Amino acid sequence: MGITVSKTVYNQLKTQFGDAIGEYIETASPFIEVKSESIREVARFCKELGFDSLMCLSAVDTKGMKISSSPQENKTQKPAPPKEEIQVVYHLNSTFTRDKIALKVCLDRTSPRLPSVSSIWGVANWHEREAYDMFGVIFDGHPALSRILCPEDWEGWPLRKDYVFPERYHDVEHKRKPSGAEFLDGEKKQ
Amino acid sequence: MTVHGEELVINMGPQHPSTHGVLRLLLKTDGEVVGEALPQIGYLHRCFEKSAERVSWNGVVPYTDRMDYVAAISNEWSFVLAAEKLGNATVPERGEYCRVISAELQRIASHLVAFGTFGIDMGAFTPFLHAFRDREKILDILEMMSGARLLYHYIRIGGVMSDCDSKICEMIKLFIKDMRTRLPEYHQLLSYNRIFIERTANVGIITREQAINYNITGPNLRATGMEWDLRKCDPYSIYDRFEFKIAVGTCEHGVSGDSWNRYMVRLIEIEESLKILEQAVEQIPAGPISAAIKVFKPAPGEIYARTEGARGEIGFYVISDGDLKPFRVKAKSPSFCALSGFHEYSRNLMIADLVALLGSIDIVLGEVDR
Amino acid sequence: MSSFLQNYFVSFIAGLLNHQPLAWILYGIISGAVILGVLSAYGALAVYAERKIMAFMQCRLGPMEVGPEIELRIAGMKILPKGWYGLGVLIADGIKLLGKEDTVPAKADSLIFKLAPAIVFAATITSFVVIPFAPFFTPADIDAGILVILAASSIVAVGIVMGGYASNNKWSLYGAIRSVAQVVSYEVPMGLALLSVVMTTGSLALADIADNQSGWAWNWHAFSNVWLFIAAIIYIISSLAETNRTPFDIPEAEAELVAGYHTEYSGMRFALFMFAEYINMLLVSLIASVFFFGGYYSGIQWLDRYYFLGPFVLGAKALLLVIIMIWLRWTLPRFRVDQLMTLCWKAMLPLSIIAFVGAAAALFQTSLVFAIFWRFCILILLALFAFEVAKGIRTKSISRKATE
Repeated sequence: MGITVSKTVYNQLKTQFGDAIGEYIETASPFIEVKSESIREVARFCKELGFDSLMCLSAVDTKGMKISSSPQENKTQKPAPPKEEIQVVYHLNSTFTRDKIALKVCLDRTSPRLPSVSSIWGVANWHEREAYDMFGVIFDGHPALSRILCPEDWEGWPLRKDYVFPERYHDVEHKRKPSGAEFLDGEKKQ
Repeated sequence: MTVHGEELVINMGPQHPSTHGVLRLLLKTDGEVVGEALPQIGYLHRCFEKSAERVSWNGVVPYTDRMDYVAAISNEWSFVLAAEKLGNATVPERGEYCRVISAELQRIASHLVAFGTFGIDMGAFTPFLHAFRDREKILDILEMMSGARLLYHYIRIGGVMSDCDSKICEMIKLFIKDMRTRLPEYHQLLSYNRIFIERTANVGIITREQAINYNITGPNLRATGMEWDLRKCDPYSIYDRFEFKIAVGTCEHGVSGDSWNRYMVRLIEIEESLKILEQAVEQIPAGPISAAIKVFKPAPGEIYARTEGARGEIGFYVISDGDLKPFRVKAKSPSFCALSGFHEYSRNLMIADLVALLGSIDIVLGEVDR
Repeated sequence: MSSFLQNYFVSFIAGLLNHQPLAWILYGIISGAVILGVLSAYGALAVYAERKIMAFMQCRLGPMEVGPEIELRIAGMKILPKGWYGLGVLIADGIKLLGKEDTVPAKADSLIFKLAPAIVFAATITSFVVIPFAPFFTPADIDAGILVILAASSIVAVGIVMGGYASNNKWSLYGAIRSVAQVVSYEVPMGLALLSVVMTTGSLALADIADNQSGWAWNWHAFSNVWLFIAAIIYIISSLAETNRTPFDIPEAEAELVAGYHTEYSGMRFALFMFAEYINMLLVSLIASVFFFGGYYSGIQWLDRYYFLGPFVLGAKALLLVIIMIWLRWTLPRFRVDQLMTLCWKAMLPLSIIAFVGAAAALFQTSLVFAIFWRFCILILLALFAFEVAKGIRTKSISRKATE
């Protein structure tokens, strides 16, 4: 069911938006690549197509990925690590036709920015706040983009692959010593 | 004529009996009426997604248990389903039946907790203890199956941990018989109590449009009269073999999508789950319970898998880069989505109604904060 | 006449001491001490009863089995079996309340905060002096006894407001506001229900009201005509609201207001609030018994010659009502604030006015035919109620059997 639906939706999107829609790659779990500027329009169009609920909105940091999870266009090529970027993935679901599709937006790692879809699906509000909280993705037009799971004054973007765990937070030390460290110290002192 | 006094901002939680955990609601009240209720979450954040990137594929499963600790098996199943799809692992027949049995038992247990705590929210203490008495029997069965009573780690990639043997099947049959006599008692004690109906019918209405907009799933969506159950609408595992109905809001009292109907859907679902259990225990075939997988190392790829948990659609977006560890795990939890629209459907309720709304949505904060 | 015993006692002491005022003071101290002692015993008993009834209804094991592992034997006689019927919980609870730290929130209004439980407790206990415990024995025989009770019960509300306000906690404040709104509202139908009896009797003194119901049980006010029967039901319902018991426990609704006005209290101050609540339950039950259910008369004419039975008969009736209140608490959910008010102003107030007018009209019709007719009506009402209860018990036992 999934693949044929994605193909038809892809064709519809391609005719509607042209260049904003990237390549379509046929796999077991296909997705449609969308340019970041036009994601809101594409999302609205998808909702009109009947994809009335946003199942999941997730951000991904591809830094350090060994082999790209997206299938290679050329099968003979040696599997290679993907470009280092931040991806935002939208999983859509239609309660009428029971179809599912996925949209994917690739963003620059240094300043990830894209329009918010919280005006289209209410649930996106919190999902986007979570993506901001964990990856530092900025959603333009979001009503109240702030941290949601971490404290307001937390520093850094915890789910990025190059995130360094802070040693202190408000005078609370929480860098765990390697196990047995205190014994080693004791032995050295003696 | 309406009189408006000064607005009183008041914190409901994180330590409050009716927030079912460490949820904080910022209430702007005018007397007894709540103008706005803003949920503030994150008090129970345990970095599930970060931890999942550091452990092996099978090692993630116990972490998923700790998301929705009231219905742990539903989470396990959803993650394992995603992993199996990525790694093309097959599950033996008997393993699938064990999964269905454990998941349905867990669903009943979870709904019993929802029923009991909702009773407490409404000021009736007795249903809670009756529900826990019956939940105890389920926990005994699950303990025999998995060795644990709350966080099971029962469903593994490729099958289940241990067998559901004939002795356990006998226990389940006894339990089904017992539970069927309890449900009328529950209805007598709480469901059709005049005060209870007054308190919950037509209170805290979530319309179907709101529910779909905020991606509310599970019993909360079905209470609006919509037949949406992933076990039927997007069948996974062997659910297409069982005969059961999708429980929807009956509207016997109140309107569709109100607190009473949300409550009632759960009790009907208990009955339906009993039906599934009955069939599963009868049909369970002989054979191995788990596929022999030594090292689970799926090919690079990504997948979004979802199952129907006790609280709604539990989804896992999992990315593999061909390593022994998952590259990225994103958990979509039904309670998180249900709470994200809370400010909208809690508008202009009274404090007591807010409690009814929150109790009937049946959130688990472990799942919201992950 | 009703204070015959009291006068006898005072003159006896006065004769001994040769000093009239001192005798009165001594009498006051002794009767106060007796009441306080009996109430303390009752408080422990009521908490125990609440635990036991709750345990029976909820399949709890604790209150049934928790207790010392050894049998209690006094002089070789077995008094209590292992576990002491759960009495150990009661003792542990008492020690816990005594031993708990007495905390006062840093920003609380300290004086008012500390005063509030004392006021609630004192106001509750005051009302007991006007209760007629036996023929010819009322601790303080005041002609307008019922007014003392109504006034004292209003002071309880003041104490609750003080507690809720002084705690400097928004939830406590909510509890206090709700409590006042509730108590003030329910005093209206409650007062009207009592007034119907006062009108029928023609006296404000409780002893006279009790004496008006001597003889057989159908002389009791509640069974003398339909209007007073309705008044009795209204009184019992409003007394639930007056004592903040389920289904009217919204001032301390734990699901909404954490614990309402006593959220910030701990230790003995909290215990005083709790104690006052249980005593209040007894008080309203005593008043209901005196006003509607024959007071110290057993309802069997030839038993009433034994005056010493009076306190026991009255106590038994009151405790029965207390047990019904406990039973309701563990059965019913809670009302919402506006529903509570709607019930009061739109249902109970009109009904109590009807009952009042009806009772007034019934005063003009004293013929035997009417007397029999009224009692027949009440009998039918009671039979209907009994039928409903029996039906409930039957379905319960059927489902039990199916389980086994």
